[in-house]
Amino acid sequence: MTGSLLDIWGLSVQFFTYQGIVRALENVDLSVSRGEILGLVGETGCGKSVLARSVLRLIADPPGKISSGKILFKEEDILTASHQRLRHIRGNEISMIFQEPMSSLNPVFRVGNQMMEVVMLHQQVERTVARGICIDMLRQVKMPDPEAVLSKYPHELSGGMRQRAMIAMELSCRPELLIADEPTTALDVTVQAQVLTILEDLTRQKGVSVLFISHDLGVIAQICDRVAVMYAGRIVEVAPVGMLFAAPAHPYTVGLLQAIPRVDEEKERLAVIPGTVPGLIEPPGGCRFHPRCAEKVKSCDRVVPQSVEVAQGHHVACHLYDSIANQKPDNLNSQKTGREQ
Amino acid sequence: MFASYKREHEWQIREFLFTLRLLARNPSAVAGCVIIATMVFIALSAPYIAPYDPIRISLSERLSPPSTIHFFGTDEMGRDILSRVMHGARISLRIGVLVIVIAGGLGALIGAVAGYQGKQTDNIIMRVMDVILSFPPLVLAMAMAAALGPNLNNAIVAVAFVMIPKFARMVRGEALAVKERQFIAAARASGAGTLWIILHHILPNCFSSVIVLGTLILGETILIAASLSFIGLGAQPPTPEWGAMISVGRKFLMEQWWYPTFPGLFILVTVIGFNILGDSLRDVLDPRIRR
Amino acid sequence: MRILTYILKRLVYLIPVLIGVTLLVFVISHAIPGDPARMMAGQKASREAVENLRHSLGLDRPLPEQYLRFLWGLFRGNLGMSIRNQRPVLDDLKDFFPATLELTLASMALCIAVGLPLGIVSAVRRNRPIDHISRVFSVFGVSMPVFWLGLMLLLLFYRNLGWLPGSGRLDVAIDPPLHVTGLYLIDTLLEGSWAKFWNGLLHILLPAFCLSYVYLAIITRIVRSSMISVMGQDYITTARANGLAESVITLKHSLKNSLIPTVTITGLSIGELLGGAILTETIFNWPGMGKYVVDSVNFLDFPAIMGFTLVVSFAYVMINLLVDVLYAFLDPQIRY
Repeated sequence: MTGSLLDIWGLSVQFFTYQGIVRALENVDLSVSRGEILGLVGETGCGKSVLARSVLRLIADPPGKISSGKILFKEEDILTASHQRLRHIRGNEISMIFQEPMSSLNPVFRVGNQMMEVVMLHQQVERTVARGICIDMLRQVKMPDPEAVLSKYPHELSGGMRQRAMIAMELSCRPELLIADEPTTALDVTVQAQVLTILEDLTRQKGVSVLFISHDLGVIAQICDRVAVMYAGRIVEVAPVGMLFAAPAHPYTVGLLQAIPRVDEEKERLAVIPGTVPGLIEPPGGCRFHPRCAEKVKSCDRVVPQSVEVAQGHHVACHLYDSIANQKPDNLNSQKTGREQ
Repeated sequence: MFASYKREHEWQIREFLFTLRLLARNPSAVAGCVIIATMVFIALSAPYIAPYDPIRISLSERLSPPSTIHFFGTDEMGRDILSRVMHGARISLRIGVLVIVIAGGLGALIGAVAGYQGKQTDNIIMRVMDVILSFPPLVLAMAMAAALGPNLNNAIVAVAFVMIPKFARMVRGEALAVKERQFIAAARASGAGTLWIILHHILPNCFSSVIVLGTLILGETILIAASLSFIGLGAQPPTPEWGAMISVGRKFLMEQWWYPTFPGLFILVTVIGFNILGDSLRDVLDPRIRR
Repeated sequence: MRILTYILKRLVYLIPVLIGVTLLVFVISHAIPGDPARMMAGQKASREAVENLRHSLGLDRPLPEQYLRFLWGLFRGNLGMSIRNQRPVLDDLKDFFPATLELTLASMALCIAVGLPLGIVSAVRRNRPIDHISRVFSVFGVSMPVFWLGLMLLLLFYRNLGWLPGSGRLDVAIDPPLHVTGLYLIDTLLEGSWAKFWNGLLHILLPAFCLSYVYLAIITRIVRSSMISVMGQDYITTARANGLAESVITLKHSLKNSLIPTVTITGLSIGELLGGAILTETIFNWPGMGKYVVDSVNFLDFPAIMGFTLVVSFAYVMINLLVDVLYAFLDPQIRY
C-alpha cells in the first residue's frame, strides 16, 4: 500500500533562550510514504533531531515551541491531537530510537523491565505474554541469549547490544513508522554495520516506514530509498537516493558529496565548504546557505527560495532553478518538497 | 605602582566587575545584600543610634511590653531590648567574620598544602579532616567550648575549628585541579619554592570559591554560635548576644513573648541574608551560567 | 557476597577514623583548664580525696598511657562517671537514649513524608507558585535557629491556641507505658492504651516538627534538584517517546534515580538530627540525651559531655556507613 504515512507541512520550531530566539526549524515540508526508508541528512545543528522530536511532540516547552505547521500522520494532525491520543501513538504507532544507547535506557531498571513495560502498556497483555514477546523481539535483532539479557541492567550490555535492545523495544508494538535519530553514530564501525543490517532487514520485513536521520552520507547511501538534505533548519533538497548521489542539485549537497574522502581519488587536500554553519538566532536572510555558496545569484540573500521539482521525485530549494519555477506553472503549486504528485 | 598591579591583574578585575553586574541583576543577591548591609549598618552604628544604653538597668520598667518608648519592650532588668538587639548585631557579625577569617584562612592553607603535595601528605591531612567531620558540628563545638571554658572567645575558636575541614576539603579539590596547569610547572621550572607557589599561585585561584563558601557558611556560623550561647557556652549574660538573650528570655516566654522573640527574629533574618547571598553568588560564579 | 566485601572494606577504612575520633575527644577533654581530678571530685572534696581520685583514674600517668587506658576503657564500655549523678555515664546515656531515638525517628518520618512529595511537586511544577513557595521554605529552613523556632511554636500552639502540650513526653499525671522498646508510641500501642498513645502523639508533634524543620528544607531542596537533573536525562525522553504516562515517568523512572543523592543527604541528616536534638529537647523538656548533655554542660560535668560526644559521633560514623551500603543497593552500577 503506497501513499503518505507522514506529512509534515510548514513546520516551524523556535527555542526561546536567554541570548535570543533560536529559529531551529523554518517552514519544513517533508513526507514519508508507507514502506519506504527516508533518509534525513545534514550537519550537526541543522535541526534534524528537532524535526524528529517534533513528530512525537517531544520538544520541551519551555524553552521550545512548535510555532506553526501541521504534522499529519495517517491524515490526523499530531500537533492538535489529545494527550491521550498522543500517548497511544508514542511507542505504538510511531516509535523512536535515539543516538546514545548509553544514556537512552534507564540505568536503575533491568532491560526486561523497561521492555515489558512498553509492551504491557500498549498491547494490554500480561507479564508472561509480554515476556514472550520481548524474547521473540530480541531474537529477531539477533541478540545472543535473549532470556539472560532481559534480566541484565543496561550498563552490563555493550553499546551495540543496547542499541539492538532499543530496536527490539521500539519495534515490539509493531509501529507503522520508526524514527531513527542517528542510531549508529555512537557505535563502533563494525558494530554499526551489524546494527544497520538488522534495522534494514527488520523494517523491510515488517513493512515499517523509517525516517532515518544521520550526518553520515555513507550510511544514508546504504539503506535509504529517498534522501532529504537539511541545512540550518530548512530542507534544501529531496531526491531518490541514486539520483541524489549521481546528480545533486543544491550547491550544499554538491559540497557535501565532494567533501567525502574517497579511496580511489588522489587528492592532497580534502575539499571543504568554506565558512561555518550559521547560528540560528540571527540566521542569514533569504537562502540560509548564501554566505557560503559558490553559485550565489542576486536574489539569494533576500528571497527564500521555493522548492521546485527538477526531475521526477527530485526537489530543490535554490534560486539557481528559479527559471524552472517560472517556466512550469504547476511547480508554483507544488511548493512542498517530497510530495508524490 | 598601583598601575602595574592593575595591569597584571586586569583580567581578574574585569571578571570581578562582571560578577558584580551579574549580581546586580539577580533579585536574591540584591535582597541578600540589602539585608546584610542593613545588619552591618546596625552593628556599626549601634553605639550611636541605639535609643538606650544596652546595659542600663531600670528595674521600674522591667518586663514591659513593646511600646513607643521601648519598641521591643524590656527585659527582666528593665533593659531596652531594641538597644540590646542592635548591639547583639555587633557581636554576632564579629563572631561570624572572625570565624570565617580564621577557618577560611587556616582551612584554605591546609587544603592547598594537601592538594598540592598530594600522596601521603594529602592522605594524612584529609583523614584528620574526616575525623573532625565525623562529629555533628554543634556537638563538637559544644565539647570544645565546654572544655576551653564558657566565654565568647573560646566559642569563636570552637566554631572555627569545626568549620576548618569544610574549607580544607574545597580548597584541596581546587588545588588538585590548579596544580596541573601550565603556569605551575613553569613556576617550578624557574625555581619557585613550594610555599611560594602555594601562596602566590594556588591560593589566589581558589579565592572566589573561598568567598562563596565563606558567605554560605557565615550563616551556619552565626547559628552555631547563637546555639552555643543558648546552651550557656558562648557569650555570657549580661552580654547582649542574641542566643544568650533567648536563653534567658525563654523563662519569660509565656507572659513576656517579646523577650525571646525579637533577638531570634534578628538571627533568622541575618542568616537568611547570608544564605541567599551565598546561593546567588554560587550561581553567578558557576562557569556554565557565566556565558 | 560482594556486598559483604564492600561493607568489610568500608569498615576497615572506618577504623582509623574512629580511632581519630577517640583521640580528638581525649585531647579535648584534656584541654580543660584547671585540674580534672578536682573537677571530677567536685569543689567540696578534700585534698586527699582529690589525690586519691587522681591516682585511681590514672591521671598522674603520662599522657599516651592515659590515652591507651582511655581506649581500653572504651572497649569495655566505660565512658567515665558522671559527676552530677555519680553513676556511669554509659548508664545515664542508656536511660535517655530511647527518648532521643523516638524523637529522631519521628522527625525523620516527618522529613520524608513531607520533604519527598514537596520536592517532587516542586521539580515537576518548576517555577510555578508551589515551587517558589517551597524554595522560600527551604531558605527559611536552613536559616532557622532551631531553639527560637521551638519557642515560637510553643507560643503559638501551646500558649495561644492551646492545641498541643508544651513539655515532656506525656502529661505529668499519666504513667509511662510498660517498657518494651522505650519508644512510648510503640509501647503504648503494645499495651493497648489508646489514650496514652494519643497523649504521647500530641506531645511528640511539636518537638518532632521543630527538629525536622531544618532537614525538611534540605531534603526538599535535594529532591527537587536531583529530580530536575534526572528529568533532563535521555532515558526520560525515551520513556516519554514510548508513550508512558507522566505520572509513571515521574514516580517510577525519575524518582528511583533521584533517590540516590536523596538517601545520602537523608542519612547524613540523621547524624545532624542527633546534634539538633540537643536544642529541641531543651526547649520542650524532652528527657533525652540532648537535654541530658545540656544539663551536664550547665553543671560542667565533663565526663558526661565527653561521653555524649563520643557516642554521638560513633553513631554518626556508623550511619554514614549504612548510607554507603544503601547506596550500593540503590545504584546497580555500584556493585563491588
